Amino acid sequence: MTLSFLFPPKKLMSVFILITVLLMGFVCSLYGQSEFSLRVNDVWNLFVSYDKSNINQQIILSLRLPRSLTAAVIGFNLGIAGLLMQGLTRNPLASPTLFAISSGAACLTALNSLTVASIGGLSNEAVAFVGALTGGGLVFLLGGGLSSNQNALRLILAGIAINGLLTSLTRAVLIIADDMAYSLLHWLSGSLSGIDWSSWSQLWPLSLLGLFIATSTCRGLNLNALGEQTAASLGVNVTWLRIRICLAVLILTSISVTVAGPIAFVGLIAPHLARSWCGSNHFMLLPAAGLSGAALVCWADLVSRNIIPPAETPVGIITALIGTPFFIYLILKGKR
Amino acid sequence: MVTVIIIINDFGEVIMIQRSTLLLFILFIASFGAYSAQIQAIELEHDNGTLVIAKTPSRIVVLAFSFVDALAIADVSPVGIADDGDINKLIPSVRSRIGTWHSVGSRYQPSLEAISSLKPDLIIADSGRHQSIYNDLMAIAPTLMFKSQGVTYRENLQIIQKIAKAINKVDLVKSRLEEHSQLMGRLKAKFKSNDTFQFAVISDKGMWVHSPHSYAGSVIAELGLNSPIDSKNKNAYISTGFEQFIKLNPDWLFVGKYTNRTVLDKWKESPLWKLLKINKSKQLISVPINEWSLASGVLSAEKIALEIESQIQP
Repeated sequence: MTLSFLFPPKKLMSVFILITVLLMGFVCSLYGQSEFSLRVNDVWNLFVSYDKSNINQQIILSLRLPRSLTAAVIGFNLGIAGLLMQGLTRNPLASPTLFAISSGAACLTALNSLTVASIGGLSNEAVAFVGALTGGGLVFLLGGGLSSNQNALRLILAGIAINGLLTSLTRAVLIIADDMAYSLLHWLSGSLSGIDWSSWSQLWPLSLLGLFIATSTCRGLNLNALGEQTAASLGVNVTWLRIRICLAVLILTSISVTVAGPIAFVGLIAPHLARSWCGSNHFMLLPAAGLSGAALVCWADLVSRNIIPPAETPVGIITALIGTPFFIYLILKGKR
Repeated sequence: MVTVIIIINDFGEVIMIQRSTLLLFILFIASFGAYSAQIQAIELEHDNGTLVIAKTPSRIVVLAFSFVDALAIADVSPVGIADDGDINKLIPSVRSRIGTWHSVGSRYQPSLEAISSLKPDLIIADSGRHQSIYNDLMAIAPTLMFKSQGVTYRENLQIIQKIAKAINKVDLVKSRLEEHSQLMGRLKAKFKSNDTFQFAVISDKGMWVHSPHSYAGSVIAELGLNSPIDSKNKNAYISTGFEQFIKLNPDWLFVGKYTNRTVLDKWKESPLWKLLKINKSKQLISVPINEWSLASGVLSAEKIALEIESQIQP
């Protein structure tokens, strides 16, 4: 009875469709737009009759598979992070960008590239992760994350202020390091072109942890949608809920930005797509937002490789191209 | 004693002039002739139309490295350079030919105040980067706009000749370019190779290969060396992932590094690295990025050519 309430068959069908779309995007990105004439048969043969000497299979195994898996998980992370942010602030236009995680990672990476703020010989990934945590942490603290007297507006204002500061610093660095700006800009636009198995190894453990924390917030988010006071009166520890949500958003977004740079708009679009298919129950919304995000990034990655082959367009540009009209649509929809 | 000179003009009139007055008159006429030669205005076509240069400029400010190279081969020292605040960005062969200069800030955003304080009589700016401040620059001094970012070897030779005209050093530059042409021709005749040669800049964020439509790429092409890039691809700088690089698979790879640790270090750990020709031949050469990517001039082209020569035939 409870299960059919939480997971109605109609909504489950929506999730099934989402999984199908994701799988199609995933498989297509494994062999699509290649200089080596990769075919779907190569993907199939990789799993059923692996041949170490086959170059096509090697390309798929060494380059395409980690890239597609990473794309899917990053999309999943950002989709969930967006859902959590919107649930926390009860604002449909909120996204993980608000937490200044992307701008924190970008700023410290840019500073590190200029050796202005060389952080004790840390790898670039570690620097980006520290930057992401710093940006997110600052917003969390300034936004009253640990205060019992919570105010979503305060969090949004803190996000805008810290984002503004970090973005300005990044721009200053790009102007000073003009000749390096090209390579930095590529990463700052969100790119999956440098992904390999080491990126995947960095990504999945923290993503799993973030997902675990996010899952624990579903019930609280459902009740929080009725208002914080109502949620509190129904037994939800709102402060603890807020801390868990912020922690999950911080982990999921930080690791995603660290691996692929800031990929814009996924955290905004995916929860809305999920809501239109699965309603407002966070037990359904959480996987649906994750799957929507994953499908979106997989397909965007495929498109990004097809724009000016063999060069790669950063995947973040494609998601931004999709996201901007979507954002305008949301504003217009809100007006009506 | 006063010497009087008698001159009879075309109308038969007799004119008597003191010798000292005549000498002064001749001196005046001669100096006027010399002055008029000095102020003979030059009209120059540049990327923003035509610029009239009234007299030979002596205080020149340049806002891109390729133009510094053009002045260096004419033995002219600019008073100001947009050097990004780092003198080492100018390659040693250029630095050694010019005197001291004042930095006018970054190439991306030069300081108009710093330029103005130098009281230049000519500014040479990049038509790609500095288009938005062209009017401001013109308010300071006559400004020539030429392509620097993304310029090719052949395009740059044309620009050098125009700059030579602007600074009244046509003959000197012509003879230097002939010398340069002989060097390039000699090396081209020497390099008879079917191998493919590629230059790329790399960092921890990725690899950008420079095609024959870039400066370094066009120098390599000028030397008669083959590029692994499809000739249909007209982009100067191509962002290249490992998969695309495996397809390019050049016989020779010259890399200019922006960071100590680069994507190549990651790629080397992949089993696919073994497929590359540069892995087998060890023809992966690290080169100074300023000479290969930033300078874009005759002196840097010679450095590139000589570096290739030293690698092909050590």
